[in-house]
Amino acid sequence: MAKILMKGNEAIAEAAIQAGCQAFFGYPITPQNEIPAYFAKKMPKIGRTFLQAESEVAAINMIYGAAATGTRVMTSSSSPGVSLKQEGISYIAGSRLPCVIVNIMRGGPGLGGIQPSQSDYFQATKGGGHGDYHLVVFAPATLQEMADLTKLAFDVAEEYRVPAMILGDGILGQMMEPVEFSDYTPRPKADMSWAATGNDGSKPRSVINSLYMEPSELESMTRDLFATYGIIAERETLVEEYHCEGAEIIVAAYGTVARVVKSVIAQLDKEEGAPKVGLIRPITLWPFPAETFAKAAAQDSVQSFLTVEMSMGQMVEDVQLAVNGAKPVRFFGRTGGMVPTAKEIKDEILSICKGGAR
Amino acid sequence: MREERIILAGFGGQGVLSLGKILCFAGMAENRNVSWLPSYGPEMRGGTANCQVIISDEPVAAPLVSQATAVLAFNEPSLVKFEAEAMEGAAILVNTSLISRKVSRSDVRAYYVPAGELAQEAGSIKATNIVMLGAYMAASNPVDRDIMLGVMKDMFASKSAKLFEVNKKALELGEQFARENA
Amino acid sequence: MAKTFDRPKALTDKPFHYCPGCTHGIVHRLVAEAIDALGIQEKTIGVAPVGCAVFAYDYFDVDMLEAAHGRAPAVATGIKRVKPENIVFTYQGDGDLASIGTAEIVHAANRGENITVIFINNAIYGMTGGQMAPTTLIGQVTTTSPYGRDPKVAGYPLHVSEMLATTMGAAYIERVSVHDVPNIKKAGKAIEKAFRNQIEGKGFSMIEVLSTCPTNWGMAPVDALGWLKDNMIPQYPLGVYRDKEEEAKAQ
Repeated sequence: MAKILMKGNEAIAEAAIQAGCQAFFGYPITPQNEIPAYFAKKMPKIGRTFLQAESEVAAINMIYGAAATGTRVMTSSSSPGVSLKQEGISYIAGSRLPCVIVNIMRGGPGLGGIQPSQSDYFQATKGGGHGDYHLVVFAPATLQEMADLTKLAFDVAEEYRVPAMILGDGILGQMMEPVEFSDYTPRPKADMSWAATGNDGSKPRSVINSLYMEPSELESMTRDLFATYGIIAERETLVEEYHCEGAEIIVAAYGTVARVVKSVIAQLDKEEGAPKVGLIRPITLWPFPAETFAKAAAQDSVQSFLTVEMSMGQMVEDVQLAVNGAKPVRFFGRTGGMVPTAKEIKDEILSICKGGAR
Repeated sequence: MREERIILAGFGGQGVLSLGKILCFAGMAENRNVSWLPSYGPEMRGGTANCQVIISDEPVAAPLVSQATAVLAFNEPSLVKFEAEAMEGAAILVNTSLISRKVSRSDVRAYYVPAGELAQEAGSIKATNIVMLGAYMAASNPVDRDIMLGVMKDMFASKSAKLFEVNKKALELGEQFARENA
Repeated sequence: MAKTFDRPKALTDKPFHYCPGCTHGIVHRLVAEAIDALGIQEKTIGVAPVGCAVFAYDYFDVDMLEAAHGRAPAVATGIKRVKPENIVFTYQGDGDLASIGTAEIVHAANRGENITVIFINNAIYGMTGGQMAPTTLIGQVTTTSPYGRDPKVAGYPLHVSEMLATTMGAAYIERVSVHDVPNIKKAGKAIEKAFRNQIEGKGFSMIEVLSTCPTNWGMAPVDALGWLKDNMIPQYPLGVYRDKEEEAKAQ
């Protein structure tokens, strides 16, 4: 199949359709509007559902209802809208329903701005709503990954009965790059016998619920959930290690920022006497590839880590936990919709090499 | 390694974003790597429009253009905003149909193109963007000319044969003007 | 001796947790009887609210979902849009539907979602212990209107049936009461019609049921029935507020 030039937002929507997504419920917000627009155009023509909900709150609850029937469903939004969805996401996690949620991040807090940001890392990876839960969070850095990880997100969500999130940003959503759609091999269909589709008496009736009046029952449900998270962490963690062999400085970055870091590494490679720099790029932000960082920290060549984010420093906390004091972990970030430039990152790396502590 | 880093900027409706796409299609037809990054937000709804295009032999790392190899300025605010982003020796193409000021730098190659007038001469003011493309092709040869013509044919001839002829003429007039006024 | 009264098939064996004299039990039974009468138990999916009926998923012997507070119409929309062959109903109280869930109910009605909504209006929050609801009457004492509802502070009773009847999408809206046997019979017919409408693809149907809350009203059950009749019905007149089909016939 030929490569298609399309926007990141469109790549997500097309991949979802190819993955068998039967319904999309969403609400307009910049910079993700191409996602609902793509579904609105395509879904009615193939007998599937697109519905513009009255709010983000309604959209995520429509997802809850549709997901409860065992149907592949997706919603998308951007930061302020994803905050509104948190109630529903918590219910979905608590009721053990699979679905895919897309967050094309923009600056916050509050109404913030509409330019790209990574300041929803905590919200995405630490739960986001109330209660003990996680989402499986995929952080694509290319449009090809936007497509492939969207398909994977549906499979992973169904296999483990958990909600999964695609965490992009305004640049990845808005930019165009050629995408190839034939790369992904779907996983075997998961058991969906739990779904509520009406009960003819041949099996116990389905009750999709997150309410437990007995604390011991809620604890036991939550322990089951976390046992599942343990298996997910073991099997589904994804990470890219780039130029890490013999590196003195390891940069940690994901999504758009990881691309800028790769530009920096390419520049430094050409410069005489420049420090050797590697990149660890988490592709799943939850589960976090802590082991990869711990191994890198144990390498003699590695002097220090530098985390670069479009935030005031969120993923850096997970890097620090993973490195666990073995090597210094520094941070450089721009926020509010500002994107760190290659020059800024390069200067930061060079200042670390000169022993400039921060 | 060959890499073109292009900033295209103007008003919405001048075909700035679609010209960026045409460049990407040509880059893809050459089996090179491409990226296209638009400005987005309230300003794109009727106001200024710009995009950053990279065509590279290597996979595109950051899609954000710094050290641009070319700036195509369709209106005055765009020239003011982006001329500083050009690297030394870059081509800056100025649409003089709407821009009266000059490029303020001496370390770049400036081309002053009456793109609107030339587009009208080619048959349609809507071909202004293709005149600018022609001038850029003559100034920097970013992609193979035959491949570019093939892309334009795919794009325009499918709508009407005349549309393709108008745009082909616009490309030629842009090229010719840039060569004669370098 | 022939059995003349039995538990509807669409109810489980689980005993209700409702307070003595609460009319939720009656309405549950009416809903279950309608499901039985229409033979739709196997394809019905119910959506329970947050409020006193939160455990409705334990009582209706059909596939059930528990929704977040006020969101049942959105949840039902999600189900019905991907499973149009199923019969989907929500069962919501007045805090759930008329306060926190106003956006969801208005838009579900206005889209003409082909679902059935059972709306219990008892003029108070029950489960949380007797707070003021949007439907609380002027002057009515609750824990959060201890001097009686003052419209200058807390606005006026919200007339949900009247409001939803103005949406172009709603197919059938009726307000009924369960304070005596003739009205219970009427309510049963209305609820059955609301389900039949869905089977026939007629669109959004809501039955508002005036109900009692003896515990939080601070009354004996029988007195509560009288209070409903004397105070609620004048404020919330019974009747059909929207019937698209009849309107079409009349034209």
